[in-house]
Amino acid sequence: MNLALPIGRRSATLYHGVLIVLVWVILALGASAIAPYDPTVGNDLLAMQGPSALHWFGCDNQGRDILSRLLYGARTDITMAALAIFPPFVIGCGIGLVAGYFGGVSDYLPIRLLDVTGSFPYFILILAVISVVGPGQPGFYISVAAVGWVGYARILRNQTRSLRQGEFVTAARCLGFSGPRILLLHILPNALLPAAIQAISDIALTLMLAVALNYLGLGVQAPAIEWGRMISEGQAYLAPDPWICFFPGAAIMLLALGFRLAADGLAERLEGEG
Amino acid sequence: MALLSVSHLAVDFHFPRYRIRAVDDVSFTIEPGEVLGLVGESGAGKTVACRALIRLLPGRNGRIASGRVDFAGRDIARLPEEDLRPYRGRQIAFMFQDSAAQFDPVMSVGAQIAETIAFHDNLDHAEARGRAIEWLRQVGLADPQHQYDWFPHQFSGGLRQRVLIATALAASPKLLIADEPTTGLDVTVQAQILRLLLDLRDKLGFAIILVTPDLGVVAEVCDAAAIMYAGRIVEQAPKSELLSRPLHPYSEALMRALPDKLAPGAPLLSIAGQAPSLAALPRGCRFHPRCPYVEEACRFGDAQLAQVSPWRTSACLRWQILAQ
Repeated sequence: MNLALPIGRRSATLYHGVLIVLVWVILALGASAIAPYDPTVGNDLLAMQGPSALHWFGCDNQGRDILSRLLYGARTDITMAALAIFPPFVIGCGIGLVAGYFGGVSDYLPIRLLDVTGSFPYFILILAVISVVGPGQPGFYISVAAVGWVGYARILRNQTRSLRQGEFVTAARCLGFSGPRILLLHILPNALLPAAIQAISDIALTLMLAVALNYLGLGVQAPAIEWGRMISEGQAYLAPDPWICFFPGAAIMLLALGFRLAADGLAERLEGEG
Repeated sequence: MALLSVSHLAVDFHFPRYRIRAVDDVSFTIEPGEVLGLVGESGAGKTVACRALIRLLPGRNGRIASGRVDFAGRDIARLPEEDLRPYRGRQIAFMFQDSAAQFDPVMSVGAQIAETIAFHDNLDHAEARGRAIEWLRQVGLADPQHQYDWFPHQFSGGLRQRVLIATALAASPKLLIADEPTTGLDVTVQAQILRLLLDLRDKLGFAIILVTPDLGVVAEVCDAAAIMYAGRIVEQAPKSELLSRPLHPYSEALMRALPDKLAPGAPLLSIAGQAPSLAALPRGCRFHPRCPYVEEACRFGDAQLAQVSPWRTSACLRWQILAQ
């Protein structure tokens, strides 16, 4: 990646990240128009054929075009990664805000829960939740929400605690505003930025998580097209035909890199201004 | 009837092993439209006394220990929080020292003023916006339509102070407490801000408690002044009487320290010693270790406020000597 730009290195990070993500989003949205072949229809004659002029990324064990499957797979993975951010964000921000502002029991309980949750490895907890609610897409969203809220809750709680001591909150109380009004209209907008930055950088994490769960067979089920499943299906042929796994793997890496760069660039820019 | 009458107000800050009385036996009254200066050096308890009036003390460990705060005939020191809230902003408005810190940094100043108006007057958004713009015009902004959408950091210190005045007055309070409104501004801007406050007072008729360490500010704008030292009021007087003849050695020392009383080139005067820590107050008169008129009685006797005339009080045991 050497897209030399006449703008500072700082915003170049953001620019490159957004560019990569944007390209993937366009490819995913336009998959039905761009994809050269039907991703679900195989041709036995083409099974395990290597990359060629007709099939740029080759074909898998059932003779399906890997490029076409990659494009359709992007839809599933981007959707899962982006959607899974919202439930834990909303839950975590709500709990953190209440804990930080009111303190007491409303602070003590979530903080203990937060400490307990934080002391387990992320992935182990996700698997534990899925083992309770069952595999599939709903299970994925529920488990991310159940485990992921703690990070946002911690950020919001600390932000709220420091903001509520702030002069402008006292000034707002001097104007006669009620507690809930100050909390929602003045503290929340000020506390949200760091949590939002965290959420954007968490997209890369949920992408990897979605792919991993799908790879393990705990996420989307057949016949859904998805990168993690493409890798698990191609795994058996890794030695003779590595391209079946290589291209989805590269796609995951590139998209995760894009989210990461975008998040880092955005954080730098917003925090620099803040 | 006095608009605000504070009597024997005491404020304590509680710590695990001890408590500190930051404001001790403070009494004063203010009439509608009056400008009262509350003067004293840092730590004298001026700000705490003012914030105690609407019970928004800094930190969580401050309490009103005793005393009454009668506002328009009602003792608000003992009102429950819910009943006191309508007084805040609507009856008694506050301007704190640091104007930059008092605005929500992510909301335009116009929206903040409009919020106050909409909240207190139950107006819809468009009406509140119109009134907020009118307020910005009243405090002297050049282009209020446009500046409505500015954020706090886009204003200079002097302009921000003007906007702060608009915010404080937006709910038409009867009393404005301005805590060092001109600290940190240069002298010309200071004069403009004080002028603006007086003009608005003339137009709208609210009373002002002006907290300031600067007797020069009192000389310019106040009708009367109360001088605080180490948590107590040591002298109260109408401005002209105070400036012509202070009846407490501390007020006298403050006046001597005013730079404009000195000949050009003369060294600046200061008051010898330091204000005592509230945790270790001297016995007797609290000012006696720094007082040039000190005598034996000052070291032991409790210096109560003495009524010097119907309008004046002094906490000096020897005020008669100063009066001569």
